Amino acid sequence: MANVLCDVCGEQAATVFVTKIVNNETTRQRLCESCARHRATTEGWMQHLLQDSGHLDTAQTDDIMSFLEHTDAALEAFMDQDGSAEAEFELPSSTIFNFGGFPADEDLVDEMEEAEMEEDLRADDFDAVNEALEADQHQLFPHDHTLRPIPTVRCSKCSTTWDRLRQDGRVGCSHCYIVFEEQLRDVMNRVQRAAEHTGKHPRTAEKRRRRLEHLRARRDHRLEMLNRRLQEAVAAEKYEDAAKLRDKIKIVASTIVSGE
Amino acid sequence: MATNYPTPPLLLSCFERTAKWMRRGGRENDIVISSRVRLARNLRRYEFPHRASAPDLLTIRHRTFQALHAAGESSGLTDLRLLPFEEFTGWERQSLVDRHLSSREHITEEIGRGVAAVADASLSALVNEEDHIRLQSLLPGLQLDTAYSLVDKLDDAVESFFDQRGGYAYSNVFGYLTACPTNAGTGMRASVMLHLPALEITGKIDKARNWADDNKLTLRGTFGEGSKIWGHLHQLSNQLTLGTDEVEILLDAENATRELCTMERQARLSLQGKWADETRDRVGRAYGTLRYARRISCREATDCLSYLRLGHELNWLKGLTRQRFNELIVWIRPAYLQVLHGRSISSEERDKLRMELLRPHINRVRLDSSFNGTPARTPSAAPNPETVKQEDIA
Repeated sequence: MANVLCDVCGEQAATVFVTKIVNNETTRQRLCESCARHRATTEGWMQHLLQDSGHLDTAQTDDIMSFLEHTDAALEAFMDQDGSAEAEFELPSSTIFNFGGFPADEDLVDEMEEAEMEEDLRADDFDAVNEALEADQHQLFPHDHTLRPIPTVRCSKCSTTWDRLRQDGRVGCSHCYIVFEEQLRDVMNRVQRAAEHTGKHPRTAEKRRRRLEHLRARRDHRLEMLNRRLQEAVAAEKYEDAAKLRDKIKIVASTIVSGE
Repeated sequence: MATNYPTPPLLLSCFERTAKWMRRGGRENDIVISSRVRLARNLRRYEFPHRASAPDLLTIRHRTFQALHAAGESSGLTDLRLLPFEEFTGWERQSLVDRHLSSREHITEEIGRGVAAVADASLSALVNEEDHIRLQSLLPGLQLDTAYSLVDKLDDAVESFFDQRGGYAYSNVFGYLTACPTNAGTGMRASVMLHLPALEITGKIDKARNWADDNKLTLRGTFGEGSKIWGHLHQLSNQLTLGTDEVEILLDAENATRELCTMERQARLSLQGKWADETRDRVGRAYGTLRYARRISCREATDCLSYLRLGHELNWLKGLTRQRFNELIVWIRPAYLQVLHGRSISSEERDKLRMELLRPHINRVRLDSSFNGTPARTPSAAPNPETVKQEDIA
């Protein structure tokens, strides 16, 4: 039996195996009992584990002491079970944990990985589940204090959320198109011919932009020329001309092309 | 008839009774009633109308009217009428929908909403409908290209007005940004009004609808999205607005229109053959109803008029020109009748007034001899249909 060490402390034998699937990305952790306990309480996923294993009455969550006791009890229960224990639950942020509380054992690790692969396969189905969960988050976990509402992206100008937008079929303001660009691109790719505009563009704005560019280019060109003449004048020791040129340069350089 | 109102109704004095799209003009006139090109434009500075505050809406309307006024002077559109919705009653606004100058969603709101249009309604702007500004051009027959060039010019003028005031909401990726993402891109909707009675009678309309769907176009009801079909009038419009340019949209819509016209014409041929009895029955009944009814609902009148138009196109009757049909289907609308009379009228009285309005026109209709047993006409009150002029009515 190969002894796998804890990923965190690297000292004790790993007894808790955690597989996290967040947005279809799998991360695996092997933890010893004490590190797992620490993680569980700080990261807040223990509660789900407890609920799943039936060790937590949700009504008791408020009581921190009993929560900790139950945490311990649950972990012990997992330790006692002989490698067959597995708990799964979903977090609303499309997170899936998979616990295997069994002694580190080559065969069992293989088994676990098989289970993980199954998980991966099922992950697609979870998208749908998670969507439902997002909607009913508070109903499903009414007393869950560790579950903070997921920070949803809002338009900074009109505070429209993507959900609202989808429901309405309308965006709130022109800024929404920047905030939700990715999602909108997906939508456009589905319903439109392409997600890139190829038609008419505002002509006056375009004209103004080109005119500005032209004016700036002309000013820069003039400055360059004057500078060259100044250098020539200095080289030829024509200081009177140089002074005049310097004044001219000052004037030209201080010209503001509107929009700058 | 309609002479007993004390002050001339405001809206009626704003517009010509016969709008540009009702007149002769354009191509494929036997089937295509009108062409419309609409551009949706929004201002960068403000939230879209469904979220904007009342002061913002009022500012937007004020600015847009200013812009249109400035644009009008430079493009020679000096007879622009500006209609803020607060100044009109519900049925006056409804009559704008009947004239295809506004939409049902638009007229339900008052504050900051409005319409600006030239007297013959060939060019108009809807303010704070779904988008801040919707510029549209409405012309008779199939002439999407002309309609676009008109509205395109207006768009340039309006844009240059707003250029120094925040400008249009535009992104290089999504083009012109609109409240509904499905309109973003060109923001353009090109649509034609099609009269398709033959496809309906022969039961091929669903086939036509599916065909349009396959070609990324939609066949909608008479008054746009989600509306019912009145008098066999269907609106064909483009679905795609992004990833394609204006010319392509226009060409696609035009080709599809011609294709649907071919389908309808083939169906009309079969109306004279296989479906002759059925069709003659319907046309004859429609004539009978319009000729002898004393009260008539708008729905029934529209359908009957539509059959008469079909009869006219099949050369089975004379006396109802295309223009007269276009005019009548608008004039008999409930809201329009009230505008015509300048007061709110109960529906029974409207049904009576509608018949009064229709009768002189129907009296000029003559069925051909193949309608045996149908009362032909009153011999005295039938002037030559070609000399019928507009002042004869009302």
